[in-house]
Amino acid sequence: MTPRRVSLAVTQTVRTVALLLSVGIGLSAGALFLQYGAGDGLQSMDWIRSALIILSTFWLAWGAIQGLIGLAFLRTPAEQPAWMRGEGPAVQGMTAILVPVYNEEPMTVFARVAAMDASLAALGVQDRFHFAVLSDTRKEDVAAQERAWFLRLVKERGAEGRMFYRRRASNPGKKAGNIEDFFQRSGGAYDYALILDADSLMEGATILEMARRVEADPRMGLLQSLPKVIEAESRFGRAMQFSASFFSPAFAQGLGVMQGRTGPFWGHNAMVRVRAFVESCGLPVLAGEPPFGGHILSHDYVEAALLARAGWTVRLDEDLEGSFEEGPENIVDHAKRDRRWCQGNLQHSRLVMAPGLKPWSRFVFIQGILAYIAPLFWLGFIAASIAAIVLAPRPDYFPNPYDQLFPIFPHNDAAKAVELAIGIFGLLFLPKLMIGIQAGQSGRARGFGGGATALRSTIVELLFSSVIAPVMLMFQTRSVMQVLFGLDSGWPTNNRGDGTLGIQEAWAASKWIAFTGLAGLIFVWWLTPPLVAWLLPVGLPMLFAPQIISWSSKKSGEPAFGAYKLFTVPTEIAPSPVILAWKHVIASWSEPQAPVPVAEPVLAHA
Amino acid sequence: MTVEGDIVKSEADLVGESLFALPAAPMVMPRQVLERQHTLVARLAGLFGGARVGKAGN
Repeated sequence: MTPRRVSLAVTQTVRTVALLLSVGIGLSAGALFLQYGAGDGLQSMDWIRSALIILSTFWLAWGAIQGLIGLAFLRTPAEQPAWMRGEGPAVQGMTAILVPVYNEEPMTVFARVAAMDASLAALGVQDRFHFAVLSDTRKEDVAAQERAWFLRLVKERGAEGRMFYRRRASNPGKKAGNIEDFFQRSGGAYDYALILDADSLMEGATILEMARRVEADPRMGLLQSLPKVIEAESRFGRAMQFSASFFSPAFAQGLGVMQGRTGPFWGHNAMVRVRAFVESCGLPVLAGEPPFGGHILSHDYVEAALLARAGWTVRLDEDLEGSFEEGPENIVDHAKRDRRWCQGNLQHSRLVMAPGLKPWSRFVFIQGILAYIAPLFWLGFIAASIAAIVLAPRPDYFPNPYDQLFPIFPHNDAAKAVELAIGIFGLLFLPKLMIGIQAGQSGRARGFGGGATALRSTIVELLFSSVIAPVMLMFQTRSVMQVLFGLDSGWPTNNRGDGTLGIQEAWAASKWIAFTGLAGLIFVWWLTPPLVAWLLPVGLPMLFAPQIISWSSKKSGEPAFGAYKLFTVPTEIAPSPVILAWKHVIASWSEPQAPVPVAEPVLAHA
Repeated sequence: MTVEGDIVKSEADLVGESLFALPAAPMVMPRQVLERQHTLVARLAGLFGGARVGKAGN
């Protein structure tokens, strides 16, 4: 893909049209539902359900339109851009590559650093890029391993003076505080900083190109790349990996068109101009206790908004290939991460009215909040539909006391409900199907195992995401409720290892969902058996949540037919050189060797 | 949009442990104002009560 820059006028027009269309589709869905509800006379529950349908459909339509806009602008380059071969002007500024770690597995993390450094060295630019491992690790045994592996890394890469390790004495502010601490002590030595996560991996050419782009635009405060998920092995992980690689570029392109100079920051795989970040992104501690008070949890969104407020450009360049991360391997790990993000996004409700923010930044906060409360609208709709049956008045077949011969039956407008359901499923599926068709036509599908494999993967992903949706909905609902009732998520370490879950572990994590599903189905069956059939698409996945979680956490098998596995992605067919280099380093470091001496840290004072 | 005097270090002077110490090149990272001092309700109350409303600030 090539970067597509659009003018401010186009950005504002697209934003306005997208918003109006989404609102229009939402209102139409609400009106259609009212027509359906009017069949037996409009009750209060019909109005409530109509309002919930408006909100839910608006949210779905907004996502779908973003994907379709992106699709309209998506381009597949005929050949590899020159910058991916390292070609381009030299970079004058110095860049710090920040690798925050927190109780991570040190060898894997430092192997990524070695691979990225080798990738930069292959371009002959390693002297312009320093690595700073910023440890917030609290476990002493892990910290000792970090020191040992870091010494080996520096020795093998000949990187003394280019690689640094620092472990904070305490970790206020978590990751944001860790990064901030670096800028406060050493920021003046660098022009740019590439902020990574412990599981980030980037090609040297991509890092270099990002530095070039930031350097070329003096107003650029932050440049975000679109990281692709790699190394997924489980059924769930591979489905997410395929989704991120196949669908996300179109949605990111749509976001790119609408962002203007107020783009996103996702917390990692992004380069910042140090001066801009330091001047604009000192985060305050919010008054009150977590979850709504205290340190800002989802700091990245806020930092993007603060940079834009100060007049800096924040931009997502979705064409920046060679940017990778890892994802959760099972639904439970996904839900744990989501719990943290949920709290962070809901905390933004306090910042929507922050002084001086760009309107789009405020809208981004609202979007982030909606992403977590929208599922509650669907749950509310289901609950209201059940309540509507309980509260429905008895039908009056003889409304005219002087005409008792011919009963008047309530008008059944079920066709309207079917139309509505088709429309909603259309919003869910249409963008993904269109992306699949575009991939087939443009040749992009070749990277995903060819047209047939890509089509198979698209259809199975749609089915799989539909099956797990009720389980995700329940986890999200619990997260929102926990935050609303004041429970803090803390800062759990991400589980980045093998995420296989046995049925007992899955049962322990999701039995409450299974019981809720069972209770709901029994209750509805007792109330009105015909409604059970309508609820089965939601109720059955809930009932079998433990089985779904355990099954989807298992490693996916070999292809049943064809040369390529389901959910094949380009990085599996032709792995990026930095991925191969990383695996090579891991293989080399995994070989038995003499014990690595544990380095004694230097206790330093400012 | 910063607050005077509310600046710099978020913790004590102890850097922590380091191997190959990072270059010392300190920068001041001023705290940003993200919340209005008064809520909308307080502002409205102030408006109708004739009281002055304070400037934004944490």
